[in-house]
Amino acid sequence: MALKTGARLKSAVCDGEVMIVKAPAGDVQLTCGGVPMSDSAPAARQSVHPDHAVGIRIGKRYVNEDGSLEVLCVKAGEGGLAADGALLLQKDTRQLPKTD
Amino acid sequence: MSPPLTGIRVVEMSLAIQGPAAGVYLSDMGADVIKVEPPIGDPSRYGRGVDNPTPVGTLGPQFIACNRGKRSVCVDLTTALGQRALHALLADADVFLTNYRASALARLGLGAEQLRARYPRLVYASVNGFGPLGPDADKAMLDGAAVARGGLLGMTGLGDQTPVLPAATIGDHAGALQLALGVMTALFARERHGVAQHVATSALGAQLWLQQWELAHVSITGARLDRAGAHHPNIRGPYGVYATADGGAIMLAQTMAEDAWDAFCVFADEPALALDDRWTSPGKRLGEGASAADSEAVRATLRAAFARRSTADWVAFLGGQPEIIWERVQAWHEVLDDPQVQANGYATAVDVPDLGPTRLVGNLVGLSATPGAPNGGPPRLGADTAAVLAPLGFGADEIAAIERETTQAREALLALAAARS
Repeated sequence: MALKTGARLKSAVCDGEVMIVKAPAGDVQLTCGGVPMSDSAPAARQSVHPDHAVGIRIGKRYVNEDGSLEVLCVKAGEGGLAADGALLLQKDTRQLPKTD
Repeated sequence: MSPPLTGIRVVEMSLAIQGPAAGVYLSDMGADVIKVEPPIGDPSRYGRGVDNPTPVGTLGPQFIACNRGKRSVCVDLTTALGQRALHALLADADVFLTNYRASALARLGLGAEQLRARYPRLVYASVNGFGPLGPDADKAMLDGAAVARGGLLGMTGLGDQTPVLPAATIGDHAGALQLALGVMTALFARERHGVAQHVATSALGAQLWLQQWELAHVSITGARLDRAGAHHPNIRGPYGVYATADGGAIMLAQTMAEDAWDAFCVFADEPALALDDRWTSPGKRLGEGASAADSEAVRATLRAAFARRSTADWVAFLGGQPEIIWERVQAWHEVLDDPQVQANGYATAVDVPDLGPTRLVGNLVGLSATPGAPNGGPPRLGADTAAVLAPLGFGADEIAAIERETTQAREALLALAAARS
């Protein structure tokens, strides 16, 4: 499916929910726990694939390897995120110097 | 090691806050501060304030706060004996500290030039409302007047309403801070250059000192800023105070890291705010590039967000976010119990006449090798007259005469006041 910036997607395996921060052009299959995410809660929750079970943390951003996809976790869950089968990584945020 | 001002004697003739609060600092740092009071005493001895259940006659809270750690000598300066006592003290003093008006001091023969000529090693430290020069050099001042004239009052509150007074006497207290700083500078200059001098500060000057950035901004840009209520007139963006769901308030100052901003937006249930390019850097979150409309938009969003959760919820979340600068808005009755106040020794307990151990603001300046410390409670009027004057050569009969003079003058004043009421 085409991902739109600002859209919120729900996990089909857990409580996890993300908001799209940046998306590449074209279709991307975003999964949580190995199961495609969608904009509505699933009728029945599916099980987490063991290779996609790292979990997502609220308030954290996740990116793909080339940085073309970025999502913000707005609800935590047990499933791990992946785009077209490749796991997303938690984004390292550069620490900025403190002011007074 | 002794406190840094051990051996320094300060003769203080002052009242209310602006002079006395400076004396408290010098006392904390080890100076022997002798408060010379007229027969009726510093009027703040009798101030009651609001909702004060202590018995009438108890020292006023303002007097207690601004006069702890001092000794009191009560003399009638309209008499020859009173004048002689004061000059005996001045001959032995390092600093004369006063916030009496210059005209009153001149009438008493205590003007700066008069005393400096007579006591060349005496630092003469005076503070007044509006500075020692100019048409209002001798104009009377109470705190709010200086705050009004200095611009802070005009910039506090909401733009379409009457300006709002700051809740503390910051004009007086800031004036006292500058006076203490000036005294310390002059004492240092005396050590280095061998000259004593007149230190002159004012509440108006202190107001300008408190607003150096803001006044520079206006001077440089020509801007005419508006009052901004819960926000700062010169800071756009989220910076400001927000009410919570249960009557509390949070001051949100800055979010320094992007992941903290993300977490904040998610917790606030406003995740779209994390994607709003107007606020996606620390600089932007302090208003860089933001229009007034941008500011109002984010503030409206945050007002709604803060109002959806309790103070405790916000404190629990923000307490886990070291990259967010924030504080819960505390009330006066909470401050002295604040663990950080306690940990730093900012609160002290001193023995106050008629009240016993009393918690007050204590010494706030840490010195690692020669630390200062609060030096006891405030004095009763004239409590130290005999103890201070006897070593200066005053005999028991003269001290008794001084006490008789002051008692008579005090009773006359009280009788006059009773007749007028």
